Amino acid sequence: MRHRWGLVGAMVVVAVGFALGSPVPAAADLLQEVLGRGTVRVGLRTANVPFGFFDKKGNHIGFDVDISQAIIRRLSKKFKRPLRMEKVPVDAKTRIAFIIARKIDMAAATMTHTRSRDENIDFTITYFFDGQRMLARKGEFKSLKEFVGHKISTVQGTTSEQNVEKLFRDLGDPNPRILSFQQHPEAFMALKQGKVDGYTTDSTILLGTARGDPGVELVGEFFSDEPYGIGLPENESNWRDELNFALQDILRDGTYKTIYNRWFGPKTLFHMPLTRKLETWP
Amino acid sequence: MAWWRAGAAAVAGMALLVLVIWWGMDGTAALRMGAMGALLVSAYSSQARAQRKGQSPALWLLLGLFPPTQLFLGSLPGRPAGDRLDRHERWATLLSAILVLGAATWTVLTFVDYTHRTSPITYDFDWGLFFSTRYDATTGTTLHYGRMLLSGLRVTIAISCISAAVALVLGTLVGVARLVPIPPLRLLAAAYVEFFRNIPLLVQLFFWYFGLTTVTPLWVNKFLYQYPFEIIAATVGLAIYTSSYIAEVVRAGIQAVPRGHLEAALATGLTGPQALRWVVLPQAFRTVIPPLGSQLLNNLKNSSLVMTIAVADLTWNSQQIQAYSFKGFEPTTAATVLYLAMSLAIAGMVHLVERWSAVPGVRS
Repeated sequence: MRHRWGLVGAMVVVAVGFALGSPVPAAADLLQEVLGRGTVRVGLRTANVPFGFFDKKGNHIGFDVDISQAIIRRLSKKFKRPLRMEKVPVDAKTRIAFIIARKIDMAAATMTHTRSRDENIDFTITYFFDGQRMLARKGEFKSLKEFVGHKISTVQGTTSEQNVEKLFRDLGDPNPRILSFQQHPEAFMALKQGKVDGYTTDSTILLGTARGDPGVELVGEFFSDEPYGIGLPENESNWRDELNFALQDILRDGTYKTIYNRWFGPKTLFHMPLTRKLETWP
Repeated sequence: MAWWRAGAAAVAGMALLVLVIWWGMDGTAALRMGAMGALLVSAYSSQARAQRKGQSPALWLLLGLFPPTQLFLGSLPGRPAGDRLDRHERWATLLSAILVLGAATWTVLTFVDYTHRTSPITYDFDWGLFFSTRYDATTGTTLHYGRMLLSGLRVTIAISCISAAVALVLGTLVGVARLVPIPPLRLLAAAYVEFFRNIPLLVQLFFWYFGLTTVTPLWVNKFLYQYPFEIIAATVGLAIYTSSYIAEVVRAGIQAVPRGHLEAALATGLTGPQALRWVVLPQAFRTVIPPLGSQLLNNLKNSSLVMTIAVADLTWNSQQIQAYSFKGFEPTTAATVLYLAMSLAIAGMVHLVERWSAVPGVRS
């Protein structure tokens, strides 16, 4: 019997090479990487009025877009490097996965800073305070308790979905009927058409999606705290520090106020007075 | 001369063990190890078989490294024509092929540069996701991802089965209607097929869920909304979409029956519907069982679109798990495996029906 040892050897080499494709941990610092690249990849929502959405001309605009732009301008000035913003569309289900996979460097995507999310990614300081409320057709409901047993719409993969389930359980409804759509306009349409009796998410998004529709109204009190933070990859403390500093800088020099008033000022459809003070470090 | 084989196997095993301990064992490494083992076994068994049969061991050793080729190459130099792999060999090679391809895909995935970085990003697979209860720190609720997936599976099966049954009946009626000698009916059936076949299913689902209720009277809507209307809309939408395809399949089947059969049936005194029921359709259906099966498979896979109208099906639930666990690969893979399993089950059933309904001695 003849054996081709050369072949066996080649086979073993191939196989060992295969097995040795062993991962090497990423070592680079994200801040340096971003500065070197000259582009910041920002995850932004696409159908969240007024945070991230497309206007009639197809421009991607919103509060989150402006805040990100202001932060990037700050960074650019500080490090004396031109930085470009690359807008990456994300939705409620992909925003965190994108950060973990490092497809994006930051996500300004109406993202509530929660403890369970913080296990997998990091957040900046809170840059917007909101809370969850219920929207209903005008005159049909007086309090949150009356919604028990009714169908409620919201968007898949959000904290709103979890909060409303918890709320209904606390109100004594063991099987809340919650329809989770893919985007806010669909959830709102389901309410308008009577397919559900309530539509719930953070109050500004409710008002933003309704765009001043006279047929609907907010019912009941806030039933959750939703502090929004900018999401960023885990354990990139230099990058997080710079984002935090930049956020506080635009807060100090009034840029934040200008942007806030552009989207939530008295003349807008989504008027919401800035009641809580954002954190600034001396 | 078997001792050297045992020795080589022992050395290879030791080397593997050392590699595993040296580089640590994660999911990716485990898969690569498994694939490597399978590759070695495949190559080894392949050359051993060649030796047994008195063929070139080197050639078969090479073929063993590319297991899929063995499935398709029946006769090779030195091998009698028609001497194909037996059942066990086929399964063994198929299994190793899947493992090897999986590992290769994985190696590529591991090296995909997500971030323009030079170093590879690893992904830690956590299959325990589906087998335990997870506590959510934010809402204080507990979630069981495995059960979520199963509840989605139930919805997918229900929607697919009901819509498939409705589509079969509806499709047969429309398919027959396209061939009856009544021009208005024929035109109507043709319009039905072309309309529902040529509009994207997603648009149709939105129509059934959001669009239709804007024209129906309020009391009808009120009545419908007492029930889980999104599931009704999804099932109806799927059934009608699939029925337009089935109608075409049935029409082709009927047209494949020689015209002489119909004429002969009519000549014996059968009425039109009788001839259809007893002579034409039994033959037509036997012919179209395989393409009908394909439509049923499509129906199952198309059902994944119903998540857009908030039906919590398998895809919806796998995305839900992704949203809550921040892990994308596991739920997506699990859903893929479940869809594949269901598809194979349907394919198997269609095959059985084909065998049962076959007329002895007649090849379809």
